[in-house]
Amino acid sequence: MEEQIVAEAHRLTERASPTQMHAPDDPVRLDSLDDAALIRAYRSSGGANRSALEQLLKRHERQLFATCLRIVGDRETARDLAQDTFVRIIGAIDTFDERAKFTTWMTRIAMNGCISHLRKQKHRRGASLEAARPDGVTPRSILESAEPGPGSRVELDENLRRLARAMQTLEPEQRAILVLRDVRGLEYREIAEAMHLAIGTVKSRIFRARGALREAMEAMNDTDSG
Amino acid sequence: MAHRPHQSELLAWIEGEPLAAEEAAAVRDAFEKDPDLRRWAEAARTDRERLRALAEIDAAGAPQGLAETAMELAEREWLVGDAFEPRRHARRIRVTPVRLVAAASVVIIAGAASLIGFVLNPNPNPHSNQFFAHAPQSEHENTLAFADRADFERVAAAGPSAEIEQASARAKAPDPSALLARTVVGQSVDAATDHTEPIETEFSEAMKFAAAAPPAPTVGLRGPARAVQPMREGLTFRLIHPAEHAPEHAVAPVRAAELAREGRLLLLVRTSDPAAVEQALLSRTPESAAAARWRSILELGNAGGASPGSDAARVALVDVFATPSSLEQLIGEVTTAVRGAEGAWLQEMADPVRLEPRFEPADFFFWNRPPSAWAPRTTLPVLIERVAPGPDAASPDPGLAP
Repeated sequence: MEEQIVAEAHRLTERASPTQMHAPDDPVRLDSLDDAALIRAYRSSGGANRSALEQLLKRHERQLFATCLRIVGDRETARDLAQDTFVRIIGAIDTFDERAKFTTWMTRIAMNGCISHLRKQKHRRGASLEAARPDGVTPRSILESAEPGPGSRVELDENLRRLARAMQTLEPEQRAILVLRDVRGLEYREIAEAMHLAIGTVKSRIFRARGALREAMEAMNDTDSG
Repeated sequence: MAHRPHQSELLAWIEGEPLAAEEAAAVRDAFEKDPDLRRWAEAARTDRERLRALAEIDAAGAPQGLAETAMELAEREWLVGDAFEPRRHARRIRVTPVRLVAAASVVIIAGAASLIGFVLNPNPNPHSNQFFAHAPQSEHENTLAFADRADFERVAAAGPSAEIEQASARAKAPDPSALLARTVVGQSVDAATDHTEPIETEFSEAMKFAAAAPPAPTVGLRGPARAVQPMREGLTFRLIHPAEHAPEHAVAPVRAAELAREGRLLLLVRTSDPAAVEQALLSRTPESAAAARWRSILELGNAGGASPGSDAARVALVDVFATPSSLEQLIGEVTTAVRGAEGAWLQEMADPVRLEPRFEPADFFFWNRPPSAWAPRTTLPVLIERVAPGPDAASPDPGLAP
């Protein structure tokens, strides 16, 4: 099976040339390859098989955006961070160790970028929800923008809105680990690999993050009812 | 009886992970006993489900073309040179406010500590502080510290050795001052000290009278015999015969301090009794010893050697702070010691002579000295010229005499 994948990757590589990079049938064929095969196809072409890389990134762009959005809580920032993650991946694809899963690697890069962004943001302005920035934007308005845009055609009920806001009150690390578990749906082992933690520590942190989220939700309920 | 559920079992229940029968029973039992715990766990499970639902909504509402845009961005970076290469994260030192405050605190604390130490020092005079106060005052306290002094006293008392005198007599050297002044003046110090061809060929015989003469024997000195290291010939000549050294060229202490820093200062002593001057330098008071230290002439070579009554000169090096007060103090002591002779003068040399000063550990803590002594320690050559005894002559610069 593995040999077949490699052979297919090589066949696609041979076919890939600058003039054929955007051949319409390429994405279809490439779609049948898994992440590792796409990376091999891209690498073995010396970077010429742009379609393989594009296919790989496209496959994960939605999940990556959702991950970034739930961590940073702002659609625009999430889009920038997702793009930045992709650019980093493109730049470092040659260093990717195939023993790890591509999604784990990508998640780790994205999470580092998001947490780094949140820390910078925390230094830049106070933690108060109502503390206004010079441009007039308040953290509360950022939380509002954390909700899906009109393009989603899905109306959020009040509980989801509260949950989205409560998520933004958590510490970046707690937010990130919940996102990895619930939004990305990663296993404990994968989270441990992405965060360089022991599995026991991952479980413990997830449990504490759930507790913190619950407290935030209850505090929000009290505020709303009061 | 079911055991109390661990948080990992509660977490597994919240996340819908399979539990062993015993664990599931423990969780159920705990929920029955503690309804709040049950409500909390159920709410947490609901949070998880809502979060997953939210993630699906987020993914559905993701903007289109993220991958393409990223590819274009990377391609643009590649065009300017650094994309498609592993990013090298240069380690930069970020100057954060916390680090800035920490660095400033360290500087302020160090400065305050130095200032407080200086102010609270009951006797800031370095000559009497503990560094110097406990220095041995006599050879009975520390024989080793005075070993050089004993050696020097023995040689100084004996005067120039007979071998040197005989060698000088054999060479029948002409008046060295006339010969050397004509030749060395105008040459660079390096040329003189490096034994360049012209100097060596022209004066190789004549100049043997001094530095090239065999050193005075050290027979009879305590301990193993020490080899006398003669000063380099060119250096000796340069010191003995600076341009037009004469009392009328004496410089004032303020100017002398500047010259001392540049290595262009010479202390000229003319006396009929060089040994007395050397003795005076050696027997300087402990207070002055801190400011001007004597360096044994035995270590540095002896430029003398001519018979008594000739123009032969002796050179010694004295470590002294390059300040007017230190120089005044030094010249005052030397002038006092000059008996029945002309006196001592600070004199400018045309070219600098680089002499490595001795470094004392206490120099590092220069703030322990009074501000007037906050100057580098320099090595001052002292040229002791023997002159014929005559009627007492007044110093050409009486103002320098104490």
